[in-house]
Amino acid sequence: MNSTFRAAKAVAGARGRLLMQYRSAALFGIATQMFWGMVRAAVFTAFYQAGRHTASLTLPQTIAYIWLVQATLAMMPWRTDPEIQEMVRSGAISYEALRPADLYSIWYARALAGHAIPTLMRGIPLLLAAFLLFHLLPPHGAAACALWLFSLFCTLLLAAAFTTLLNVSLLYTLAGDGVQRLMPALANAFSGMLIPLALLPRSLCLLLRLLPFAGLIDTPMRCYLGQISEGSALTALMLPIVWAAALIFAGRMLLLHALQKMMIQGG
Amino acid sequence: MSALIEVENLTKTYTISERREGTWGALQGLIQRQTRKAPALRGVSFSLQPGEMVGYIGPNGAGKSTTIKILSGILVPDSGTCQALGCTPWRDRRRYVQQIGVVFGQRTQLWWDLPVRESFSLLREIYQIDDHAFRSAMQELQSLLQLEALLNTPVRQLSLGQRMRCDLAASLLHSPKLLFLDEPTIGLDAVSKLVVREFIRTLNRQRGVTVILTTHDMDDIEALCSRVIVIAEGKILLDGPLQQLRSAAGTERRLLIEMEKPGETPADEEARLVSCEGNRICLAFDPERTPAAALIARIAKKYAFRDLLVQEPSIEEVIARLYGTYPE
Repeated sequence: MNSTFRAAKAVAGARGRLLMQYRSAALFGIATQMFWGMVRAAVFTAFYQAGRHTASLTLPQTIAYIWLVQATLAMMPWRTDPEIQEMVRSGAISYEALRPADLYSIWYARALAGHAIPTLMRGIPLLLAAFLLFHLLPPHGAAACALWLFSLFCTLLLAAAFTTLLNVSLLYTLAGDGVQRLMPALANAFSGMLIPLALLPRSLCLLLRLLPFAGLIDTPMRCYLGQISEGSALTALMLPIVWAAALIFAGRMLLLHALQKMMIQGG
Repeated sequence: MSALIEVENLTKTYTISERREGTWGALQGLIQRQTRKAPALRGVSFSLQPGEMVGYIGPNGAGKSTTIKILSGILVPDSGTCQALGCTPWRDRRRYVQQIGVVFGQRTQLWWDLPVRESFSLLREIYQIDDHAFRSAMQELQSLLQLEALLNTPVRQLSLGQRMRCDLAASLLHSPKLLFLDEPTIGLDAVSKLVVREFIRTLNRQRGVTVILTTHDMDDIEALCSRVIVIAEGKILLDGPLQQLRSAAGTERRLLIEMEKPGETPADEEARLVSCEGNRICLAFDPERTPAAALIARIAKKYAFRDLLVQEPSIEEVIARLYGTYPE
């Protein structure tokens, strides 16, 4: 297990260093996310000014929500890893199967780095800008802030489990076009990225909070805004972790099965 | 000495899904998939001693790569057994792959966007190579494959020949005892081919690494392998020394003659005319019936020529002939 951990750490490190090379991608990412943040903030402001007051979120809370979503967009498991996709397409995947390490762990480590590094690179400058320029609401106290950071860590575990599952699915579908279209639609709607779950009808909101997607956006948001009391924090944070474990288990099983019947065609 | 690899009766059949022709066929395919069985291996058996270097050859689609993939543990056969380095490759995969090196010539194992050096240090972590072993392996590979200038270059900027040298090095960092090379010289220029061949020879002779090599380049085989296994349509046609391959396909040799005068064609009852281009004549003869010396003497008596050369048939021809005689 120790050897797998070392290998996974090395892969995550290499992946992270690689992603740090893409400075201009980060810069333009920040600019785009700022722009969309402003558009979305304007839309919600218009809604609230039209008199649609809701008890669950005030306007400043909603605007804080929008900026936090923009800052952590790189956590969203929207797509498969392009490098793994290329490996599956070209057959270089055979080399992955030739390594004396647990392939799932290696891929999971890649996904961790793939979500964590861009989130840090884009999220921190974006949040700073939002504080200075748009009077972003600070976290609801020190406890809420600590809870929020821990919850983001859970989100990372969950997002990487999603992404790795998508990557494993490539071994079955080869192209992955289907999951690439389906996943953003599901994740955006069900995580609360497009519309905060709190603004949805009560029963729908409660249902969506049970699904794995809520852990991507809704849970850390509620921590930040102080809507999760310290007493209920345990159950609220357990759910993303349990879902992450379930997705990891499913991904492992599928990968094991795929490697048993994998065919690598050609030369 | 006990065998390093013992392969017994391996079979593998691929299931290939097919679409019927035309729009109607495509619609039918929505309801019911049509599949076809494509046998890739039909009972392959052989064994290898430590330190051997074997050329595994055959036409496209003969089952070469399938065998290599099974032997390296990434493909599970339908039936048959294989013991290699005391493991069953596809069952004890992790323990087994720690001890082998594999190069697929048409693919790279290096990380495309990273400098070569970074790929190497990642492999070092994955294979848990200790500092001392890694440094000495790097030193040796660097000098044998002339890698110094390449190590800091991102892989995407390497030429094919440079990339292949790096790929070879990558598969040897953990000092494997057994090396599978699947078309290691494919697409390389003449100089790179020579470097790669020389390197493989050194590995085998000096480090005692057992090598299985598949290739379509017969010069590779002639330069490197004392033993060849010929496979066609999933079955082994021949397994033996290179010499046996030649004699299996007949003993015929060629005599190339450059005549003094164009248009003149020497004739001899023991030789067959193969080709005639200007003053260059090619005759085929059977050295068991008439020794080369006697044939040359007879021709020299009757005709004037500038130069001549006795040639063994090229392995390509030999194999083509062997395939031709293979019963369906």
